[in-house]
Amino acid sequence: MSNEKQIEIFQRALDRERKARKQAEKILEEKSLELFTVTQQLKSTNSDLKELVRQKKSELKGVFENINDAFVLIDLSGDVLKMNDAAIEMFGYNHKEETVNLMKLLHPDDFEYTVEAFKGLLKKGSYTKYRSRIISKNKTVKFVEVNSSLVYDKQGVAIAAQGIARDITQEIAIQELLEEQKKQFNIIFENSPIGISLSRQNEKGLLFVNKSLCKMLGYSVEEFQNKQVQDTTHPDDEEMSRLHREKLFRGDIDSFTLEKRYIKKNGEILWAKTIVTAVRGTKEEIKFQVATIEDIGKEKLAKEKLIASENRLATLILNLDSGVLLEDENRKLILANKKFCEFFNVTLPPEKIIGYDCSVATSNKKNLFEDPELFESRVNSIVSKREVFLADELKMKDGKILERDFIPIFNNENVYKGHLSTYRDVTLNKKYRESLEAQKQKYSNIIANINLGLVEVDINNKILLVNQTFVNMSGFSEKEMIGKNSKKFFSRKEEKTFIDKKKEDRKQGISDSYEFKFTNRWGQERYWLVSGAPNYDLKGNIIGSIGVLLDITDNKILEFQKESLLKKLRESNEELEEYAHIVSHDLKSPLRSISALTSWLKEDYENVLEKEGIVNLNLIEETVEKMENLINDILNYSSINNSLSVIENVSVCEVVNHIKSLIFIPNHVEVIVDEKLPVIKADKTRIQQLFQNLMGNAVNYIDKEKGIVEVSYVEEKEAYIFSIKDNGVGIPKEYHQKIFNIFQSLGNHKDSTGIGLSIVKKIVDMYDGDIWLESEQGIGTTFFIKLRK
Amino acid sequence: MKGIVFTEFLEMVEATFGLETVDYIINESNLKSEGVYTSVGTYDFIEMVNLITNLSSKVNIPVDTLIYEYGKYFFGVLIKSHPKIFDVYNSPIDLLSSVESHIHVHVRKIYPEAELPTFEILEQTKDSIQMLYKSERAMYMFAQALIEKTFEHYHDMAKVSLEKLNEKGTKVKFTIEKVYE
Repeated sequence: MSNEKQIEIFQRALDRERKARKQAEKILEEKSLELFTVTQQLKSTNSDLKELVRQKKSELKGVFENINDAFVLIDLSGDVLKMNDAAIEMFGYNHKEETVNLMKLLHPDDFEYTVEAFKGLLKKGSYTKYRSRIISKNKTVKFVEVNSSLVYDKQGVAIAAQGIARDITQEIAIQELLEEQKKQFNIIFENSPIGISLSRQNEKGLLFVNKSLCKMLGYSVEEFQNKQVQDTTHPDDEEMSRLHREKLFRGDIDSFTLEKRYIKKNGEILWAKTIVTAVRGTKEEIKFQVATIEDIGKEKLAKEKLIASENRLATLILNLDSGVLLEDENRKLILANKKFCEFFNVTLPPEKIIGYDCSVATSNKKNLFEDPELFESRVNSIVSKREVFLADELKMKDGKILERDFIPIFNNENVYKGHLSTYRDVTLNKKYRESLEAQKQKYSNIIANINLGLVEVDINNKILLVNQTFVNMSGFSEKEMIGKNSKKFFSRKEEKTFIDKKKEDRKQGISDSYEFKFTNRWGQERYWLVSGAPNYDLKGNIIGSIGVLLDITDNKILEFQKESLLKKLRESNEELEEYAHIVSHDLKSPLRSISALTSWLKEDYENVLEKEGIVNLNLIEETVEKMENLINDILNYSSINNSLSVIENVSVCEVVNHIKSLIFIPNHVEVIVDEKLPVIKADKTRIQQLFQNLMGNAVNYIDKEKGIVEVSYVEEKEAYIFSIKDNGVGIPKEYHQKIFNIFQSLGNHKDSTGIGLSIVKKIVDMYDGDIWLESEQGIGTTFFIKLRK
Repeated sequence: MKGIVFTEFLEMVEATFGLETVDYIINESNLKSEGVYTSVGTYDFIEMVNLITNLSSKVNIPVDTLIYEYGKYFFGVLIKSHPKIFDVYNSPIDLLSSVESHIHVHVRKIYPEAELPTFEILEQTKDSIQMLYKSERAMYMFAQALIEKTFEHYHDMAKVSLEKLNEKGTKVKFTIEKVYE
């Protein structure tokens, strides 16, 4: 490379360097100038600031004097050196007028605290937020808050303290009030039955949660510090909850209410009504979220029940045995049920005919009815009248009879909103009613024509019903009796009281029969057999009574006649008995005379009279004796009457043995007596008559060479059966009954009067006993007597 | 672009290829500044592009290699003028991870108008760092040289690999792994 070229290159490089230096110098110059300008600005700002500081200082001085807060300067013993107007007003003392020592104004309770605070002030040089009570000149206690600092001399020794005091009495009071309110709020918060929670936006966990919520969800307050309420949301409700929360965050809404489910800690589901409210700050941002959660498990359950009951009701209506039709005010069909469709031959199901025009339908269906035009015009007329029509009877062509209730519907403002028609098939009812009517007619006829009087009275004895027979019996007309008190028709006082008594019986539910004497309209006394019974209503309450009456006056008269006849009979019996006595007695004395005279005749004229005469006399004597026996027997018989005058202990054995000695017993006859014969209760004389007759007969009718008469007995539970057995002639079968009749004698025994067995029978009857016999002709007879113990 | 980049570049060219080559590339580049640079001034980046392109054709060395070499050279300048920066960090990875958050912050205090590349840290462990280089200047080779030199300075070795995320090279991913001998 040539030198020239090299020089050229250097020249250019040098040139560039120079230009670069100048350029750099220029840049530096510019920077210097910039620096200078900035310095100048700084200087002026500095002096401005100095002036400002000076001004502020003097301003501050003025502020100190006129400061609203109290300013006090004290020496280290507490004496006030300086105080501003506010301080004078606060303390009530003026240091210019008297020596004021702040320590002396202190509330005694705050003394120690103040000493400690003052020590702190001396140590640190300042003390803030000193709070104590002072007592001002007018003895009021004030809370003051003091910020103080020490004042030093030039050598740095503390010589005084200055402080700004603020009266915070009211502040304290407000604070206390706030605390009180907070406490109250906490009580409400804690004891609210509704769960409440407070959370800060974008922070995990709850700031506050109350007991109710903890209890509802089963988590403790501590557990909720890491958990939001929404974390316990039921998975199925999460989406819904999230959408609402997002709206809240976006600011679309300020609060939302949800009915949703939570999962409790124990896994159970809680139905709750949740209200979440956003608390927004000044920039509309959400600061807090307040959630209130109300357990609606029960309400939910109730709601479900309501729905279920509505469903049931709907099903009920659908399946009701009445046809139901609901129309709106424009005659559009709102609701109909199955039965309605059935009645009106509607083939569509009830839900498919909703919205049909019912006026058209009426016209379409009118031919189902017997009188189509009447049906249609009637429907149109009652719809237009808007009144209640009940039990309208509609005859259908197929013979069915429907009953229709028409009920217009008005809302609360009394505006017509449509109507409800219900249809019932009353065909059967109607037939039933007709047959019931026929039955009733039948029984009415029976009652009217029965030969028994019938009367129905209510509980107050008012006559409700009488039949024709009763009218005939009483003589009063139906018109006269109905509605009247039955007592009115009784003329005698005892009738009335008797009826009152019966009325009471009926009220007790007693039914009975009784005879009743009634004086009829014409004053005739009539005897009625009354059968009375209480009458009940359907619920079983007594509403009166019914009496059935039979006129027994004729029977009654017959009865009276019978009684009087009996009386007469008794009297004539007595007379007869007396007569028998007298007759017997009177008859006996001539007999005795005959007997005596005959005996005398025999004695005196025995030699005169021939053998034949003696025989005749003997015959006379025998006949007289027989006559006497006959008379005695008659007397005995007639003296046995039904009066059981004497009842005593009778030893049958003794009686029988005594009889053995009384009666004549031939040598060929042996009488065997059971020595164990019992003692019975009876009249001794009668028992003797009884056995004497039977034993006498037994002995008398012996025809064998060796006669045996046996007296024995058998004991039964309630009776003794005595037997008298002989081996005599026996009694033919045909006489077994006859022999007990009076004057019946079989043989011609000299002593037989034919009365003996009648007496026996009469005595046995008297003791309510029984007598019968077993006999075989030629072998013997056994009489049995059964006497009750 | 800061003047110091130009002055140091020309000094390197002069030291490596001679003043004649400096003169040649300035004349060939038809520069607005006429090749007059002072380290405190600011100049158009296009001038640097022209200078390097012309140098590349003159000395027949690829542009990337030239930039890479200039980076190595420039690291020496930084050591000389700001030695204290290197005392602050204990390791090259420490330093690299602080380029964006610390070193460039200080650079901006001195040169408010400086247009600096960004180094976004994608991954960092004790022994490796992955950074995303972003600059309209696309001087990633310059950056690579500085990174390698940094390791050298701390007497460490590293494997530096780069992945161009676009053709121009305005977005490049650097993966740097420390190598133990």
